[in-house]
Amino acid sequence: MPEELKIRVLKFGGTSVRTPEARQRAALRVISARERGVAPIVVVSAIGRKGEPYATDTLIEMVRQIDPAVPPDEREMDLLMACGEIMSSVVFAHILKTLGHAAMAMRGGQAGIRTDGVYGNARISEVSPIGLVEVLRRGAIPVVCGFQGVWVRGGLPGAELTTLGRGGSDTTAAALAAAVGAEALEIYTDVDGIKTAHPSIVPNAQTLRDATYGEIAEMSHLGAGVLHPRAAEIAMKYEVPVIVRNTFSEDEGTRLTASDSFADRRATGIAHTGKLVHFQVDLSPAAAEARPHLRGSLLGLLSDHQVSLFMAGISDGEFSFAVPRSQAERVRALMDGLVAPQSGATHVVQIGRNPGPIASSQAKLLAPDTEPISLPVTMTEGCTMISFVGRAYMDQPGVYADALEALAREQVPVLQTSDSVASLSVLVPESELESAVRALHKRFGLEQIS
Amino acid sequence: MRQRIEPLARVHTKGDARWEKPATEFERPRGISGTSVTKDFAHVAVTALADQRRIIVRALADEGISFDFLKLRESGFDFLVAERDEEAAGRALGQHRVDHEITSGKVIVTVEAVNMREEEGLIAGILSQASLSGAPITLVGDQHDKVLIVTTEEGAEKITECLKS
Repeated sequence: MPEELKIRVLKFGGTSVRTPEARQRAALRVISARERGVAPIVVVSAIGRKGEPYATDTLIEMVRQIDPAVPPDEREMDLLMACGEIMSSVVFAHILKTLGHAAMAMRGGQAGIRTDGVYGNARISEVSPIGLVEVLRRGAIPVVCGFQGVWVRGGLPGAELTTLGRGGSDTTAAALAAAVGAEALEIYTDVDGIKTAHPSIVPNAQTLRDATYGEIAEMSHLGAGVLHPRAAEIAMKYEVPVIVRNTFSEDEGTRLTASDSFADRRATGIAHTGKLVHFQVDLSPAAAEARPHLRGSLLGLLSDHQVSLFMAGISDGEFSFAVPRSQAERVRALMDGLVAPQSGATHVVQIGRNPGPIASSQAKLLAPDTEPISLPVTMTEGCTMISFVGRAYMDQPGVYADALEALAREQVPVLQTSDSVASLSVLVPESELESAVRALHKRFGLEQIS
Repeated sequence: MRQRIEPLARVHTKGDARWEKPATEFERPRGISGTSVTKDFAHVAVTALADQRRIIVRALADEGISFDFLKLRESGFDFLVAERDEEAAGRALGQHRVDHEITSGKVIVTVEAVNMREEEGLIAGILSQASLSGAPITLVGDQHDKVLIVTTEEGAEKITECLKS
């Protein structure tokens, strides 16, 4: 870090740049930091939100509707998806200028973000913030487009624009903070910090004052939209202190650190991932020696078709998993009627206890030569995954008993469970989301946490 | 007069000039970044009706037994305990006349894969490879940066070898 500069990275999410009033508040935050002697680097998300004329979704739709049968080119979609952040950085830099502060809008590549060549979900390979530091040294405020970088080996003149995938602006901000050795990364949002549960479900959810990178990465992984796990990972690796704060209030927010200085706290929070479909594949009709290969092949098929699994479970006679609702039809289409020869027998996968038209047709076609073995798949729609995060609690006996009792008291049926060193998840019907979150929040004493 | 931009190496010769030598892999690599094995666990398979699960789980907690990897089945549930708690778990289940089976010698293979939720197909791919390795898989779980697979010691070698290749 240049000795003369006390750098802080201030990242403003969509809600902080959405309206002129919000942008004004955000800009005053930047100016206030500068007046305290800080050299701020600003990272912004896109201005537009779904339905608005310049929102990313609207722009994507403009291309997709040309011919829905022809998928748009990934490279060109990255060019398009980066527009929202470019607009945002220009607008934000101009606001700072109108308030009397020199500012410069910069694309991710100009700020030094270099990535691999995976369009739509690029990983940062290096950060070379020479230009960024030069802008700071000249007394201006760099306003960097989040969510984007460049791939310098694309084969075309100039660098190829890439986008960083979900949570990309958090990732940009963490990467820049790490690269310049910033004294802190401040993430600005529309809530007071990281909450023990979503305030729309639990109105008395508390703001965590401290948390570890690991706890927050786990909460994000399990559905809490607080800080993207990639950003938490970068902050942890390069030891960047992170503060999550509200643009619109003076609350001190949540401070993220590597060390656990609050060891007596047993619970961290409740996260949820909605709109899941659960699949349970019964392998028990197959011979025991055929089951591992059948399972491996079916999972391989899901992997080849880029299906994201939640709550995967494996036992000798079955395997189960949940997928986002948006991927459920793809899974059904892949599996229903699938013919899987293994260990001298022919198996036909069927969705439901009774074969559908495809599985029936397959069985009929195979019937002259072989007697196919049906592998039924139970498909349960309308599920949600609710997770309790609390590393210290997970070390104690009784966490499962507490969770199951709390849910039983509210008559919430538990379809499946899953756990890790730091969390416990239950799959419940979507209709029970609110009562289940409230029950667990109360049972684990999260109303009293701070 | 136009300000001259000095090369970075000359400007920042003191202190931490981290950007002079940018990391070639700023983020952890895509996909699997490592594996490790933890030993000395026992698998407990319990036969029970759905409404008995909660009572049995509470009974285990009251005996001070901590367990992981709880998985529900139609005919009961499974979980994992440290081998040091194996006897106590068997005793607690026996006291409640619960039909159960305990298998010791289990290990956990931890497969590190950061941001795997965003890498569509990665979790399925890891579990597919593990299944096809020939290792017996007892239970599985996941964290934000890890997939956890419960198997035998021999199975752990097969899974690790398979994932390396």
